[in-house]
Amino acid sequence: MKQHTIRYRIRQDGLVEELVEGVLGESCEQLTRTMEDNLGEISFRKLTPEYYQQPEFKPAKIVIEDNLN
Amino acid sequence: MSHFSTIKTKIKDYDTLVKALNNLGQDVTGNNQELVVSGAHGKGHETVVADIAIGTDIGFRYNTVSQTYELVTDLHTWSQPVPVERFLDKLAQEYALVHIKSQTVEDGYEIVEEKRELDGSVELVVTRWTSDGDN
Repeated sequence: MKQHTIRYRIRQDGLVEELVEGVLGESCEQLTRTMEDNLGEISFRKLTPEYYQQPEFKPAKIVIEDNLN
Repeated sequence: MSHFSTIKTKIKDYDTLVKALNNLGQDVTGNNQELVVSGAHGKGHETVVADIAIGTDIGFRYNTVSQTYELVTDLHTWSQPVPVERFLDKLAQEYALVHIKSQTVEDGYEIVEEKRELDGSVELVVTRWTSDGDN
């Protein structure tokens, strides 16, 4: 299980800062797109290092047969 | 951390707007009120039809071009305790708060923290557990 956290800071003038944590790759954008579409318009966006990491994948097991004998 | 965005709130949803106004202590009357929004001296008042009304001289009307609700009022008879700009800022903040809370809960998030900071901003933290691989 992974925990996704979104932090919002709603400023006095209604400007909303949104920080998404714990989501790798582009999926974090899908996660918050609905919110951003419904709430207003994006005036600033910055991708954080996690965005550029690929989600983990489980490599297939590779068996190398020893044919030397 | 994955991304950081700043969103400028736009008042687009009727129910959220009504709830935000109620939270700010305003008595709101529903659809299509006849509003008197000009002429402070009792004669020759123009009436404007608004979608949501506070009393008889403040209303909100849906603008189909911008697709947002806009304030209609008479600045000469403005009787709220704060100036009109501050009124709209407070409304935008409350609207954003109501919207974010209902949308995140609908999406399966749990609100784990909500606090008002000294500078008047509101900090809201929501979390959700998902299984591995399901981002």
